[in-house]
Amino acid sequence: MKREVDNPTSLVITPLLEGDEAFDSDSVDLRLGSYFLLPRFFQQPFFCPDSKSSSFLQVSVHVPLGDYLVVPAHQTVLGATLEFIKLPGDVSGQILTKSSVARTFIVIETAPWIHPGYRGCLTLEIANVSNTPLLLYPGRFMAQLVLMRVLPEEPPAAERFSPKYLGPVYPEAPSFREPKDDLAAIGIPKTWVIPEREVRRGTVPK
Amino acid sequence: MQSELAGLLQDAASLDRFVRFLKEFCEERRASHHYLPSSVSFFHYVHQLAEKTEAFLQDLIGQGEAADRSLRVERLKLAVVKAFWTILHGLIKPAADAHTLKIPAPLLGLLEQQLHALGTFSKSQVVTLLSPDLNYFQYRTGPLRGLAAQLTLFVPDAPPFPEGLGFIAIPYSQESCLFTNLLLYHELGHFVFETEDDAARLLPQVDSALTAVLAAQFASASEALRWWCRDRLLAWCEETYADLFAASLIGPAYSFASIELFNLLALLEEPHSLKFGNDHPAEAYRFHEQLNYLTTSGWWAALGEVRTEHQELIEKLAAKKEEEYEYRIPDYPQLGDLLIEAFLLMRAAVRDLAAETCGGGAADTGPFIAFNKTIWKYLVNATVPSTLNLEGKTFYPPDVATINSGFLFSLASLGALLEKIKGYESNKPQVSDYGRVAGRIELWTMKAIEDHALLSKQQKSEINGCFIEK
Repeated sequence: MKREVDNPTSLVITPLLEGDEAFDSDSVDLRLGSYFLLPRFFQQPFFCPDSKSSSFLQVSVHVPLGDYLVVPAHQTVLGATLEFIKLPGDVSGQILTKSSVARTFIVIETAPWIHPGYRGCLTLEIANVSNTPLLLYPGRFMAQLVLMRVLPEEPPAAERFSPKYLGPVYPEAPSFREPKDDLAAIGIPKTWVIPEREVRRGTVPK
Repeated sequence: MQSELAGLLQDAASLDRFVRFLKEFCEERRASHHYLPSSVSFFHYVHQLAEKTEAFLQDLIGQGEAADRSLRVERLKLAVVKAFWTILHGLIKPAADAHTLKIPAPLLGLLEQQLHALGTFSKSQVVTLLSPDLNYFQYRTGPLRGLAAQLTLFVPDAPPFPEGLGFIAIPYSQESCLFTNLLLYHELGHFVFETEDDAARLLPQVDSALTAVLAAQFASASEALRWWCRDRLLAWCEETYADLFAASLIGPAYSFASIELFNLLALLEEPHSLKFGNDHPAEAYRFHEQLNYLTTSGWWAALGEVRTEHQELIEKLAAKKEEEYEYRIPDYPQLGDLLIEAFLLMRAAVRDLAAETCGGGAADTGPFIAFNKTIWKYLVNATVPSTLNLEGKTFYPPDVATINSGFLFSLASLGALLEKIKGYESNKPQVSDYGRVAGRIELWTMKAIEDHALLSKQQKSEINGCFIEK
């Protein structure tokens, strides 16, 4: 913990409002941040995960500390931890729902794994799987981050950050490449693309 | 032909519809977005005033054609009410656009906190407006307050215009920026100058300066010309004051932000940078005064060995000779130079006024010197610098240090961060990569301000302006 930030084995978690008391023997409790992405009422008949339309699916919302967000029954919203994390190069993390929160039928992750060296506030997929709308209060404990040491590379690689989600502070829209580029990379020569004009009309060409 | 009462009814109904729309517009926006407390206060005022105005309009018509009543006088009252609501109309939309997703809310929180620390401004509130103009400005509330006072004479129980409420505008394109929005400190300076009525305080010195330079010419000039000369000097004094106010509160980051905006507006090229305008002194003069403050306060030396293009440009502009300043007045070719000469006599008075206002609120260089290098280490490691580890101890750097350090890093060392990003090739620099990473530095610095507001509520001990964990 008490290592300089440029040490590849340093862990940074900020702000830790209760200091070292947030740490358990193998995990640290994390709070809910104030920014959310909610599902937008989509105008098209479908959503294509490509490079142009990735932000069309969500609408940003800010809920200041002291206020709450209502998550309707069976709805999912994207949030983020209040804490910004820098994981050491030899530590992986797994983000889990705090057990008391889970007992209210809130599930916070379906992509819980955090790679060594990750930086950023952790994006939380917060699903209300109950039949009742539930209130979320930013600033309250929501998740626990379990830390696991991994075998380091020999010799340790210089720290290089992924440009995809570089140090996010708020929940961010997904970042995709064009489907045809992804598939061309594995030798698929042709990928069906829906012309923009047809998407606007809401009809899929035969 | 329509009766006078019918005409009054039509007039009142049209205003009633207008006021209802504005009231509902505020309510609808407040229901779907969050706002800073200052905006909420403003919307609350609009709501209360709308209800009283609606009641006033109903009462106006309900009295009918009473014998002791002049309907023309009633229409004059309506004209005052309309004029006031027309001004509010111009403020409500930009204020409603400035919800917390569209403004740098943590910076505005800091700005208001620093304002409150300036003695008499402990209860002041500043409403943020999102403006279509590519410029920052302070909306002068003096005329609005005057009209609001008149309104209370006609509209029973009309709420008084909120005491200490001001308005400052951000260009909508800069909503998510942190560093350019440091120019808001300059607008806050205008707000303080207006509220304290500093123009009245400076007026005797302005007259002395004009008399010293123009001598008998000033005394024999027409009253209109004398006021025109005073207004120029007062406007230039106010601009310089607002610059010094901003530099005092936020340090050199303010001057860097000015360079960013002036560059965008192409104001720093000669001869423009040497020209005085009707309301603004030459940019060269403004940077001369800022550099003088930053040097005497120790900030310029605190920047250390780091050299950026912004610093060089500030020094270059500040070094321009006073004889090169220019103010052209087509009808009075000689007067421009004389006004500049008189204005230069005001220099000490403006510096003193800014120092007196800011007093103990001026930003200290100590925490910046102590933490700058460490904050850079955090930023180059793509980490929010709100909790610093320095020689095994934990520190929470104050906001002014974080902002100056973050801005300086963004100007001087962005390449070091880019080098750490997978796939980045330094021999093929991409403008978009630089822009994106510069945006991240602003985001991390803003997050550090947000975190500091929370952390400072938690920590009990304070050492050298920095919170330190016990």
